[in-house]
Amino acid sequence: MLDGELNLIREAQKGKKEAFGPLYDHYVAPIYRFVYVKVTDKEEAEDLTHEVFLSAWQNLKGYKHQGFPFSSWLYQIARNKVIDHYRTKKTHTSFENVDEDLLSIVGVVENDLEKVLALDKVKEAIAQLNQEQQDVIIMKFIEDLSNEEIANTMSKTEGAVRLLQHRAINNLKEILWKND
Amino acid sequence: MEERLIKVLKSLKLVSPDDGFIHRSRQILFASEQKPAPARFVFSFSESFRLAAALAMASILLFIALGGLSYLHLGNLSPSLLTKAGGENLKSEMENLNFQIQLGQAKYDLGNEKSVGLDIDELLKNLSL
Repeated sequence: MLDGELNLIREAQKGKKEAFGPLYDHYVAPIYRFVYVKVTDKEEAEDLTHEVFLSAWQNLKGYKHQGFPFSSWLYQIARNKVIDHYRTKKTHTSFENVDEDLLSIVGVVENDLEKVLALDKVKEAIAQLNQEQQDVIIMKFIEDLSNEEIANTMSKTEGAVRLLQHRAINNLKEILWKND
Repeated sequence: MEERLIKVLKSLKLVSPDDGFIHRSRQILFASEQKPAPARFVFSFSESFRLAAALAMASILLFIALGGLSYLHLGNLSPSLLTKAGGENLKSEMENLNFQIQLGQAKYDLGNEKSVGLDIDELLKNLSL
């Protein structure tokens, strides 16, 4: 959670753009990662990330703090945007080759190629999970969110989130094992 | 394998958006205006709880009252009995009512005639003087 987050939100709710700036800067990377791992395309991830923040900025006056970090609200918007994205777009990116976006994003030198290949495989495996399992994998293991925050974002109980994590990891292992 | 998998997942944190994208996105974002706050007709929790409790109490009291009437066999208090009044009953009731009015009117007329007669007698007496 960002220092002075509540004050920044209150100021931004009054229409002060300079207060929303630090919130944007703090959360743009995690939201981008969340979207990118799910849609697997850099440009789509950028478009969706922009839509998430645009929607957040435009609807900020309706935001009500409920004791959770601002990121919970942003993740909720991002989840809905990705669901809408898949509802309108039926095609999926092929994973036959190494993801070039990933190569450019990680900015590897040759000896990191193995790492990128591993990342690519894992990303491909994540894409085969259902939406909820994808969400929990990203939020728990990539973004290190607490179970409480994940539960709030996904409108589930912490117990349900733990169960979802367990199933997601098992499915991920199974997919990776099959592919090997 | 799980530890290795989680380690690889953690390394996805290396993924981050381009600076160019952030710059463009920020510019577009801050060029747009916020929407006004949505109008809300919100009951607070305590208000809605009180309303629910009042409705529940009213329902319970009504239930007890109806149960009590039923137990005491005070069914004749029920407005539904009105529908049991047959057409014949109503007709006779109406006829009796008219009859009483007619008798009352006759009595009034008779009384009137008497007083008028007395008035005429008195007038005649005065005239004869």
